[in-house]
Amino acid sequence: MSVDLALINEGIKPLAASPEELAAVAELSPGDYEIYSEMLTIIAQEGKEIMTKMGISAMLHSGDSVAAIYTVNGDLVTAVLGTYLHCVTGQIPIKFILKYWRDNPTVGVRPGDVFYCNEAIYGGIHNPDQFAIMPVFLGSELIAWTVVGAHQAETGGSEPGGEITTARSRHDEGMKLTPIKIGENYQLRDDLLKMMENFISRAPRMQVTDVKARVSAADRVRVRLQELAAKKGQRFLVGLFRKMIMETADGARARIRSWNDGTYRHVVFLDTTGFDAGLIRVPLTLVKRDDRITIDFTGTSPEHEGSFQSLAAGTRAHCAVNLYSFPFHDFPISAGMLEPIDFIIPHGSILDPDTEAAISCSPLAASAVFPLLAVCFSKLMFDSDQRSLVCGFASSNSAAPMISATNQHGVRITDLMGYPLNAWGLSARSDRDGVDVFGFPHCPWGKQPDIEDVESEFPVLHLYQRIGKNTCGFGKYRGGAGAAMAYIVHHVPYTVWTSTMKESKIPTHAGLFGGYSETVIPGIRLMGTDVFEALAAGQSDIPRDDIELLTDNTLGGELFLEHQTRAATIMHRGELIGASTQGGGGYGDVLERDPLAVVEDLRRGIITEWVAHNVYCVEYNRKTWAVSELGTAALREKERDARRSRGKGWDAFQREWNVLRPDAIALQYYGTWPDATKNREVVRI
Amino acid sequence: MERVMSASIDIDIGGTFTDCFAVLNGRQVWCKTRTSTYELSVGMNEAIATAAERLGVELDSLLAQTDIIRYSTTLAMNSLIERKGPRLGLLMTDGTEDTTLIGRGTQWADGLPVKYQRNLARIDRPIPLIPKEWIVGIKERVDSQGSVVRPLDEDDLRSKIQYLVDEGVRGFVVSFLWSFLNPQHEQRVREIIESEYPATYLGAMPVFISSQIAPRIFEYPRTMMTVLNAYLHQSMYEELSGIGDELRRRGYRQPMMMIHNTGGMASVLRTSAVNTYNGGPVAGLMGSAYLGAQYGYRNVVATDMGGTSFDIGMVAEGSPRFYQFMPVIDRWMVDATIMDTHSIGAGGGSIARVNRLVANRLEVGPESAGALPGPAAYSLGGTEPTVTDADVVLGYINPDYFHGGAIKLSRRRAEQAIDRHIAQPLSVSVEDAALMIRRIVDGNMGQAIWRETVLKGFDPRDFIMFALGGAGPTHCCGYAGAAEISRIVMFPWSATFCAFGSSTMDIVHLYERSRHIYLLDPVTHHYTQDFAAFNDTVDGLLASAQRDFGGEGYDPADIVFQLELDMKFGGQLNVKRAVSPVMKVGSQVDLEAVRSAFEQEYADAYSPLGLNPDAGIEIQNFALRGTILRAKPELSASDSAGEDPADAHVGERRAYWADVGWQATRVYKEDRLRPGNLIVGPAIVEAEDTTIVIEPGWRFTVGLYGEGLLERVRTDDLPTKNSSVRRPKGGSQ
Repeated sequence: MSVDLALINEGIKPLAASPEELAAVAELSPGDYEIYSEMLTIIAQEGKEIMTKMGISAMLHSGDSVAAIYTVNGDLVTAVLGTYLHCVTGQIPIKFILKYWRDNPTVGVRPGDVFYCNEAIYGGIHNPDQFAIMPVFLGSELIAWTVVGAHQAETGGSEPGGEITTARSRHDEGMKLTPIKIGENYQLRDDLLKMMENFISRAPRMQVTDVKARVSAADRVRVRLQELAAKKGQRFLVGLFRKMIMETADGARARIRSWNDGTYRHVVFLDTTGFDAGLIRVPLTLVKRDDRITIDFTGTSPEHEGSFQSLAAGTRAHCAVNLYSFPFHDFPISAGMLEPIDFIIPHGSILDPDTEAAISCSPLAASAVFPLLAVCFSKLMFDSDQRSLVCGFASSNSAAPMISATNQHGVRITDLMGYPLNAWGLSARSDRDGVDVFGFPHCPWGKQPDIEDVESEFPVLHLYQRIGKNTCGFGKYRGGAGAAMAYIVHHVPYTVWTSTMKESKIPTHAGLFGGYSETVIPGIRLMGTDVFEALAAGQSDIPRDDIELLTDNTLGGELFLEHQTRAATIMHRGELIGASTQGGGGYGDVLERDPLAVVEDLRRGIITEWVAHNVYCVEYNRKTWAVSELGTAALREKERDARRSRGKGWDAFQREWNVLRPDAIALQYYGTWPDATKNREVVRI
Repeated sequence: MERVMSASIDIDIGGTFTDCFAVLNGRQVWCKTRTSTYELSVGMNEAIATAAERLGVELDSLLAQTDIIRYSTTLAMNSLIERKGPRLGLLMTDGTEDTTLIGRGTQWADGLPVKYQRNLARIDRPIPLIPKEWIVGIKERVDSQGSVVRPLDEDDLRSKIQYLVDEGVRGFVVSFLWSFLNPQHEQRVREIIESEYPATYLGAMPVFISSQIAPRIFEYPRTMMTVLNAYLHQSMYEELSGIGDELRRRGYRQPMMMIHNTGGMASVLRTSAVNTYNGGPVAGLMGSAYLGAQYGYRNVVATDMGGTSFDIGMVAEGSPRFYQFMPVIDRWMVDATIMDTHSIGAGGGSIARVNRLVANRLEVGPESAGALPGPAAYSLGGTEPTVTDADVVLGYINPDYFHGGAIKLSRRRAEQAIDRHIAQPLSVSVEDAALMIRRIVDGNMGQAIWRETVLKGFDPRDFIMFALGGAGPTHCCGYAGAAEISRIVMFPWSATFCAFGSSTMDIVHLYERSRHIYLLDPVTHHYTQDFAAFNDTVDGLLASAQRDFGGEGYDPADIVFQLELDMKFGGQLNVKRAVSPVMKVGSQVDLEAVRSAFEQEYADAYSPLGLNPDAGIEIQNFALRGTILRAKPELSASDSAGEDPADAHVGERRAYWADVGWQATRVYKEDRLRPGNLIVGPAIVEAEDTTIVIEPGWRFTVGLYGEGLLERVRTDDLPTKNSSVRRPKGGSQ
């Protein structure tokens, strides 16, 4: 398959300003930039709201969506989005269309055209992300582009849910549309809609409804841009677009220049390929020099046969999530922000595998960059005016159980469960705790559905859905907690579930400056029982969270503890599947945490007594909750003594550490030990 | 059926001022007094006394003739922000106790501007109204079909109630899953609490159950709605129950009616605290709808620019028909149907800053200097430049006649602030810097109007604008231009418009209930045959309405009903509310009419491309609006005094205009203008409570009813429609 790698790799950077663009910038009047840049954002917002209100997919409401405006050359001008991933994803399909279809007489680009794509090779993340693309004309002149896109949890792959845990190559992952024209003269083609419905036969209603939602939204943005161009002129838009890109780039460079030069490193590990468990390394070397930053992933484990890997465009997009969420959160969202950022992503690694690779779980793999960039930027910003932005972020897994079933209304449905998707803990900050169950790190503003929303549409009943005990990273400031939750299959004889998680044994996230990592969560299934019988019988000891369920299963049946990455599994009425999420990492030494805050965490069910006593070393009265200052001081001094006794010199540490090696079975997808270089061929059929 | 009355009094109790609009035998007066935050009735009584004085009657006499007193207040909001509520216990379904603490995950973003939402490293959850230690899980469960799948464990319940009582709670909120479908567990909890802890035991401990307060689907907003009502209940009744005592003692015989954000009003006894939130702006919206109808303007954008915020309300096709779904009150998402008004941080006190990080981008607001220290020109310690400072520097606001001269402004301090913080960094003159500040804040407000209009599926060019609030007339040419609106109307009582608005309102009760019905089946594509499901739900709501109105002494025959339905295509989360063309269904023709009304509303709001009946069509909520019509104030006209405004011309002063520069500009006194007078911009009209800035390219006409009409006369870049002055339908000459 021929792929234009140069276009994909360079397409995220804005083109250099032309003399005509610079002249148009100079012609802007004072205030034009301030007023009309805001106007463009409102136009994009209108598009996004229309899509969200018209669509069905859980991800539309969780925020994995974008409505954006691009220059005539396909550079991002502004976007309203739920995830910063899509700052990057719309540009390459447009540039592809311009390069290959515009002058092709069998395709062409004309007013009223509607293009559509979901092939990640053309700049996307993975094929659940579908995009509607429309050119904007003023008369016969092409003046801009608009893209509206959103994740959709079904692609017609070998398993339901779009993120195919067992995929071995791209051929297992269902519909993958290169940028094609699905509408002309402002009309969608029914034959192509029918083709998509056929591909997505597990959820045909969702496919058609959400295509219409995307296209309606893109068309509204198109109309607004045409109105603005008609009023202000095409040259005005050229100047405005270019200024918005330039100003973001200039501002980003200025901020980078203010930070200390240096090299900052961190490394994390994944523990699955999707179809099999295994240790995978992802290191980051972040180099800051003058007003530029290089993000270098050299040393990443080689590609494998599974779907937990990401094409380079997806990896860069995940970096954009960090960059826009923390160090540059206050900047306009345009292509300019990435101008002073360079990437080194080794081809043939899990962060840029061959284009034949399975990559439908790319957000799982690529989100390894979240803690990596968070730690390196926290080190970089600690001694700067941006210390308040120091934060370990989160180990997002963009993961949630996916259900496929004929629901209680007789409708075939396949979708993500939106609540666990949006229920991760935010890590601790330099001066305060993280946020419990704060949201979905990929799309921080998405909303969880209510239980009643989920239960009205999906054949499940929630046994519990609450803040998860001991899920946060401990520290002077603790991370936010995750959620504990479990579903029971209800109303229908059976359902099919899959789920994805890049870590269920080894935490990908590390704490900051001595804080603990978050807690990993096992997959939980309870089979061969009917929980409804226990409920109906008025049994008083029904479990209220994972710890109660695992400590003393009062529901009968067989309890399975497994990786949260699970292939399609049939669950029958009355059986239980867990969907709990992780918290965020801690910050600083646990022995420096205010003992009153520890007791407060205990009272609120954030931690257990064991943690209060053994991790935080706090002594308190179990009836009155009063902290014993003397008792606590003694416990903590004892722990400090123990630490000192465990201490070693550097040379002694290295001698012991360097001979350690994981078991061979854990290293089969790792690459060579310890450098993770390629040591085998990956064969895809 | 309208009732004849001799006098009416309407009050809007704001944070700073209490506004009054009174009508006696057709004569209208309005006034402002300071709000007495320590005891609201003091300021309220003072306002009414002032109104009586202006009407030339004794207070007792006015009250004896008064048929109705209506009022709106921000009291509920203040109690919430100040956390003055009682200690409450919250009982939830076991396993879901953290629902209000998690708040759909992104509760931390609710109620915050976008710039704060984007800064993830600084986000925090709001402090909960009911902390975790007073929330308990109760062993019970109902499923999505209303079936009990886990019986209520009464022993467990009693022990947890005892725990809460031992913790010192003074009231209970009960919110169980699916209770709106099957309320038996919630009702049983209330019975048990009331029997175990009667008022004689520890004093009254009220029990609020969600199936009664907000019987609608979605547990988080339903629970928060119930929590807020419980939290504000006590303070509201303590502070408002006596508010009319003095007035009754002086001769008022009717109930005190509170303005509701649903667009109507009810007595205090039939008012929940959440109903009162944002009552003032909603009253302003209803007043705009009334005046729009009187003047024949079917599409009106009502704008109110004050010191810190800019409020927008829309009347479209003759109706203020937009609701906020899942509105956020303070930081809490609730399930309340509230008339839609929108507010942004833009006003006279908005601070202008140069963002040096992004190309010296000039930004205005949302931060405000407030009343203290206020703009630099106030000389109260403010040093940062504000919009008011810009208006002073440009010569638009008379430093000696701000608020009728009550506040003296310092032009020098305004110039210094703008020079230091804006002009020097941008290397422009002080007056150009001031003009930029003005242009940007006007642009922000105009875009907010544009956004609100287009997001509801309308074209702002089809709207006329009402300019209200103290700063509205000063900036309306600018923000109307940015919103592409070419006609603006302002009224003599603009500064007390919310009080005027309440004088136009009817008695309205809104009854809502979730009931899921597949109007069109997603599998068979047949219409529902279960007419009873639809009709029984409507009957239940009708019965509630007739019981309540009857209890208030109204004749059921006088109630005007309107049925509204929240509907969606199959699988969608968001619903679209449509007015049902029928109250009951009895045939497929009726169902087709309901479907058609929904599809029309949906296509107008979004796109006909999005109609998707193949996915099925669902009804999710029923809302029944019962209305008792009230008489409205009549507008009275005067004869035209001709176009020449010479009698109001009081001189000239230098003012700085875009594309023109400094120019001697005519100044007029508003109270000397007469109907028919015409002023072509640039010009300035000074009033006691505002300054009307007539920019070049605009002209100002005084209407026969005292209203001012601003019209764009430069037609090069904006379409204008129907530019003639209109006469209200119901007016008299």
